[in-house]
Amino acid sequence: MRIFFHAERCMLCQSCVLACQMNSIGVSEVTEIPRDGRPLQRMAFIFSHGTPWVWRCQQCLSAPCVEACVTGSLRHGEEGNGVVHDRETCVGCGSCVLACPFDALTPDENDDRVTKCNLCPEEEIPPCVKACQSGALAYQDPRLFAQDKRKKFVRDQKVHRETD
Amino acid sequence: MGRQRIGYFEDLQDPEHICSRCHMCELICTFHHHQVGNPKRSRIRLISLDKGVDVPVTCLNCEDAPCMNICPTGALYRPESDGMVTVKEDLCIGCAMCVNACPVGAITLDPVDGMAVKCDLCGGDPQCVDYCPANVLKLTDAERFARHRMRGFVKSLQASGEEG
Amino acid sequence: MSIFAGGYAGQILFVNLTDGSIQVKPLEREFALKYIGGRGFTSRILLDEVKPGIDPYCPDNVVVIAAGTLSGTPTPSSGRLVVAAKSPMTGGIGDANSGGYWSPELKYAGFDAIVIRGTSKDPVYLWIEDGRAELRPAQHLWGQNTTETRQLLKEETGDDDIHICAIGPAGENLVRYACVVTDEEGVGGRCGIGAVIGSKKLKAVVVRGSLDVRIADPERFKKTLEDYRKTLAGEVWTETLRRLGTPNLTAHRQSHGIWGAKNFQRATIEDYEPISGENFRKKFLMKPIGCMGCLVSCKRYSAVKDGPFAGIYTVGPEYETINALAAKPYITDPAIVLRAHYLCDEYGLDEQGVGSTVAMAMELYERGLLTKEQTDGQELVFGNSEALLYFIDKIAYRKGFGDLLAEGTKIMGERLNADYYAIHIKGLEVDATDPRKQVTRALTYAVSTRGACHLRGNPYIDEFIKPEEAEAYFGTAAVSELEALEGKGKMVAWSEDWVTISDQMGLCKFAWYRSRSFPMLIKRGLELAKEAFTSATGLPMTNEKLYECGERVYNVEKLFNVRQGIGREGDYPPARFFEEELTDGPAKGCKLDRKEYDRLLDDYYEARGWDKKTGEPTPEKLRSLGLE
Repeated sequence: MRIFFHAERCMLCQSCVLACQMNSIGVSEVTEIPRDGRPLQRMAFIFSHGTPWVWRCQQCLSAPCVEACVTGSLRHGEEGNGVVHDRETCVGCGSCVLACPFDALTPDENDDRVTKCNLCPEEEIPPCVKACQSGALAYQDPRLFAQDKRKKFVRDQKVHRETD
Repeated sequence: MGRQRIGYFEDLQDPEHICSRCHMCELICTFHHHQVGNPKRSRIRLISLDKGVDVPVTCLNCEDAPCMNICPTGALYRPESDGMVTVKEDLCIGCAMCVNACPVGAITLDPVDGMAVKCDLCGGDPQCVDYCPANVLKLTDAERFARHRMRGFVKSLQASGEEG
Repeated sequence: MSIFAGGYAGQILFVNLTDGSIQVKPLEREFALKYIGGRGFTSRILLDEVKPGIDPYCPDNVVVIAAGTLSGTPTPSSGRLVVAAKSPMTGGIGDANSGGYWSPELKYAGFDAIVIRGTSKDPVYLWIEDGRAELRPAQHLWGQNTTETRQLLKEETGDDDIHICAIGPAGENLVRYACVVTDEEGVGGRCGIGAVIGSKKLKAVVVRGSLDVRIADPERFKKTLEDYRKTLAGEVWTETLRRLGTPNLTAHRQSHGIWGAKNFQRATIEDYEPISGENFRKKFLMKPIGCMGCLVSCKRYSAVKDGPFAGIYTVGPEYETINALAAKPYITDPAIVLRAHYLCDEYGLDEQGVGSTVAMAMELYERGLLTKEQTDGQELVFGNSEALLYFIDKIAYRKGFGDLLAEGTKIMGERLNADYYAIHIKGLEVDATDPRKQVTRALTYAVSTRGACHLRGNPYIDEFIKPEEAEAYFGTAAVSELEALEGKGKMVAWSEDWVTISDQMGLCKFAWYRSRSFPMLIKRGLELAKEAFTSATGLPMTNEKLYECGERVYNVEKLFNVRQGIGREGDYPPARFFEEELTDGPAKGCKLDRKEYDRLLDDYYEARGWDKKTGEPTPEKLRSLGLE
């Protein structure tokens, strides 16, 4: 299971980033956000050339960060499920930050270690996906994601033909 | 010869030349590439919608291929300037960015080894085309496709001329 | 990891619905080699698990679902599934066979077979994915038609790539001839297995799999594929089947006068054109459809575009549909046939069951043995299409007169004192053709282990076999003569064993076991099947051994039936075929002769090595097949 992003559905509201940050400091209501809170940067929103994109860990299957990690605190999850980061053994060397093609690992300002998206295992659906109201973020198996796209493709094609 | 791909050509006037939902393309594709039976690993997937709509979907071999453009490691590339977009497996990190970017879901991660997989035209002799019992799958390129459409157009003119 | 180099998934799933327990056991090599798969597995497991004399609806009855050995491999037309249990129609072995995509998916989900015991308190469905299985509540699905059931399950799981084998309201209401419906395309129709599944309160079995089905020797396997393709290229019927599907047989039935129309009172149909294969193609065909990996594509995808039934999209009709829902009740409006076919699929009803019982009731009504009060005020005469559609509803929900119709012809005959008009063998209605013209056909129907069935043997080998081939295979050249009886018992026995191989392997009887040339039958059905088997599984096999596997399974089934109390008397066609001549058409005047039939049956038992009095397989026979 991974988080996928449909750029064409994004409304640029950045609720996902907010939800991620709120989750990182453990609050559930916007009004409860403390003034001095230092949320983790596990997700970043950019808008470039008219296209939105949400940068987040891609949970690569042979992840460069895992290979770059000097202490073994980054490893692959069970059954190839995601990349897991162990904060206890992380020394904050930053090798992974250099290796990651997506800038998905960021320094944790609280304790000089790195942090990354962990797909919020305690939740059934990650908060960022839950917060997205336009359906731009999807939490899906890559195969099902591709399958849905194919279906959409076929459906669109058929609609075009019927209206020809 | 232009960029080649597997095209789906149905003839709605002739029932025998519409995809017959036999999944042979999937079976033979997986068998050719992995020597096993498992349609979920196939690079061509049959999409079945209601009311008897079945369309096999595979790589469109886009000129400005989004999968290739977004790939962070260069694992997706064109060996020849007008050839098929190909996966270099040792460079692929399984990040699924291509899965995210592909507009038709033609590229996905293999459920067994987790790397990106897509149609490679079986090195020039596509098995799905060879085995398709309805003869609706054809190895084609943009130029031939345009000629096909032109021929259809002329035929329709002819038919309406006869009636009038 | 399975012990097999390929082909098999290597596991059998055991489900007990009474206590909800689920067990996974490995498939043993010896068992696989002896019974191959599919019908071999189901029959053997039933013989071991089902005690004699039990009520088919009691928790002790066992439902076995097995995929063919080659299902899941890229072997063309190999996606056949066998669903079996003690049949509520015959009381003997009951199995239903269905094509489509379910059987391969079961293999991809990691199982060769499922054994279901017990009865659940509340409705459940079985979910199987990649080697795991669980029972889930199905209260919300209970009472739904099959299409809605599939829709709801797809919504529930959020994946429409799942494959579903479900029963409809007919199965839930224990209509004796309820069937199982696999996906949109396949129906395991006969023997009332749907009712047994319904009695267990199991609404559906849903599979999703992404595991590999390995191929032991890919190179040899590829060569077999190529060889098979070459054999198809030379066959004329592939083209016909693709164009017309099985409804092309309507022309054959009409020209030979073997329709069995009007509950076997007529041999031809006067106004035949509207229900011919050509007409169905012209008016309704959207496209042909193939089962998993099929290079023939004989299934039809039909749409009704105008008229009162516009908007029906359905897979079908088959020839059997036309025979059951058009010829038997003598209805010649193709749109009605499609509507009735659609309803049967929705409710999960066996079309032959519906067609035969309604036709029988029509005859009884016309003969004055049924009154209008008894039939819910319906004018139940032949050709009344409204009555047919009306009673399909009533049968599925067992309402009014439909409650009696839902019992099938055998029980209806007993209750109304009209046994003579119940055209069944062992309780299962006679399908496909009127066998009066050809006594070997009658024999095949009658000795078939699951009751009247045209798919248990290939009785028409004598139409094209050459004398020298007949001499070599059946010991007498007389087999090649249509009229002669000599050697025909042996021929029928041989064809039964040989066709059984297809059910074990999961191969389609059309695409693999049909030809107008005997050497081609052997080449495809035995040699290529064996090649595909060995190259896929890596298990040693010879033509002779494979044939013996078919024979073994047939004997297992016979043993099951004998233990359940079906002896020689069960191997007779209905009395009407002996008493009444065909009154019209080219076969006019044909009827079966009891003495002739007795002699043929003796011959058959002798060829089989079965006791002539009881029909029981002799101990020597069982020993030679390794069935002590």
